[in-house]
Amino acid sequence: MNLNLQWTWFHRLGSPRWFYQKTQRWLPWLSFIMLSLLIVGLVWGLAYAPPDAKQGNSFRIIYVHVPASVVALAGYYLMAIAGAVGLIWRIKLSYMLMRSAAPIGAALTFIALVTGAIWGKPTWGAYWVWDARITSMLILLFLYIGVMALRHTYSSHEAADKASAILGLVGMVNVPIIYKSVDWWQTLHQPATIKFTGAPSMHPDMFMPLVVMIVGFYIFYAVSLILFTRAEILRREYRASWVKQLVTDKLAEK
Amino acid sequence: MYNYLSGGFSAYLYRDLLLGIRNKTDLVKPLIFFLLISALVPLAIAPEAERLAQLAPGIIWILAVLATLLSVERLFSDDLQDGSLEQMLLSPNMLILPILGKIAAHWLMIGLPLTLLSPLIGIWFSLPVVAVIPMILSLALGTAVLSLIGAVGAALTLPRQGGVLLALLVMPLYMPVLIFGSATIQSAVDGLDWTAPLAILAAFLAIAIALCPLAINAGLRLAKNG
Amino acid sequence: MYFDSLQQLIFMDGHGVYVWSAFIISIVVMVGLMVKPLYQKKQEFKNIQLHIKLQQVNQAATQKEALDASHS
Repeated sequence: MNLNLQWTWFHRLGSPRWFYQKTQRWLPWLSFIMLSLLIVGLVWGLAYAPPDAKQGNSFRIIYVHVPASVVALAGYYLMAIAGAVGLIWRIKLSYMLMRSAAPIGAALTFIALVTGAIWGKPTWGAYWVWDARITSMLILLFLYIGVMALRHTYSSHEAADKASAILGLVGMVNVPIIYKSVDWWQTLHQPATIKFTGAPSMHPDMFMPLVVMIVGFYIFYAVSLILFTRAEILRREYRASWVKQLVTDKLAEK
Repeated sequence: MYNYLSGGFSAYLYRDLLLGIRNKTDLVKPLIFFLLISALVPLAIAPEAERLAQLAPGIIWILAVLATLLSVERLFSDDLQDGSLEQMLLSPNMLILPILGKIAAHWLMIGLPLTLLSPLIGIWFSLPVVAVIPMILSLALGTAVLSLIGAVGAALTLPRQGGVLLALLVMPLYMPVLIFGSATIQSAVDGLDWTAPLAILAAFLAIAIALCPLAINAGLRLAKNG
Repeated sequence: MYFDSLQQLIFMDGHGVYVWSAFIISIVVMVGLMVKPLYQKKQEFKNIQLHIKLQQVNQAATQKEALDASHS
């Protein structure tokens, strides 16, 4: 009995209706925090932080490149864990989160790749250098695209969700191995003369805006994930009575 | 009584080997692919021994990856078509040993011949003699990992039977094997210690044997229902 | 501010093109990540409205059929 009581919160958490209603209230707050953090970080990083001694002003690209790559990588773990939770406890909401996380992660990885390439031009004189971080990001992009593409193999939502979850888990085991391998491969071939980042050695004037941007990107990720998941909930739960009520209420408002 | 430890492994190994030997063309295809593309490389780049020797470790490994990828697609699809996959899935147990048996058969028919053929390619590409044994060892271990990971992709893409999607799923996961495999050969060419990357390949194989069958089992059950 | 003038902020000692293009591309993609789900949600609302209407029409039709059947 006691055990049952303890688990009710967990299952309520897994209810799409609960999620939809709660996030309705959270969204304005989260969006406000996100916008203020991103704007402060952007202005601080672009206009107030001092330039890097070696790289000059091109170093300012760090304020989007690093947050995007950090969140894209964390997003892969989040996606895989959401898939695992779905597989183990059969929670529908968890699968919806997993499905929503894939395009966001892929887009952030894309940002990291493009900004990395642009940064490479003034730093190394070439748009593409097989730097460890950029190579890992490229592989991460393929992993994300794989998860997104696998859905179309299956005709039912259920099977597609499970297959993506399995692939996500296989990827999660592999991501650290891939990162370490690429790092090792990089040191084998050419020790990078100028590294992207080196956070501990950064001056606080440069580092603080980066922290603001990273936190801002995390909250951006949360907001975007919530928005995608809400759309996904409507798509899958259109038969539920609470969704119909929601729609008719909205019609009545007009 | 059903033997949980050896149950299915040898039976599926024997069955798949027999099927492979009866149907020789499937067996020979990846090998011919391997040899044919190797012959194209000097034509496309340059027949100079030095340059070829430089490229050899990478090219041999890329070809091994492609040859495995080509063959792994058929690992479960033939069984799905003739219904024997469904029979295998009737068992309520985890099918770890039957799956490992099938993969072992796949490695014996694809990975092992590639490994044995590789010295010939080494001669074509003027690979130094010191690198031949590291090449054989790294290919032997590495192709086994490639078969295991490829089987995960083949199981997950079974409803659509592989194709480009299989390559998309599996290629990123092949990256570490490719890195350490070619590094083993390269280290030997450079006169460095090549046992370290080889040991890492062996570690990959151990992880893959432990984890891949679980994912394949889940994927096959999905493919049957989905 | 680190820069003396707005012009310098835009130019950034010759690195302006790289820095600004990187930021603009990122912002465009991120705005897309916000707009796409909102648009999807709108579409879903429309779909569900249609679904409800269809159900109502169907119900009315079956009721009418039943009524006609009982009269004749």
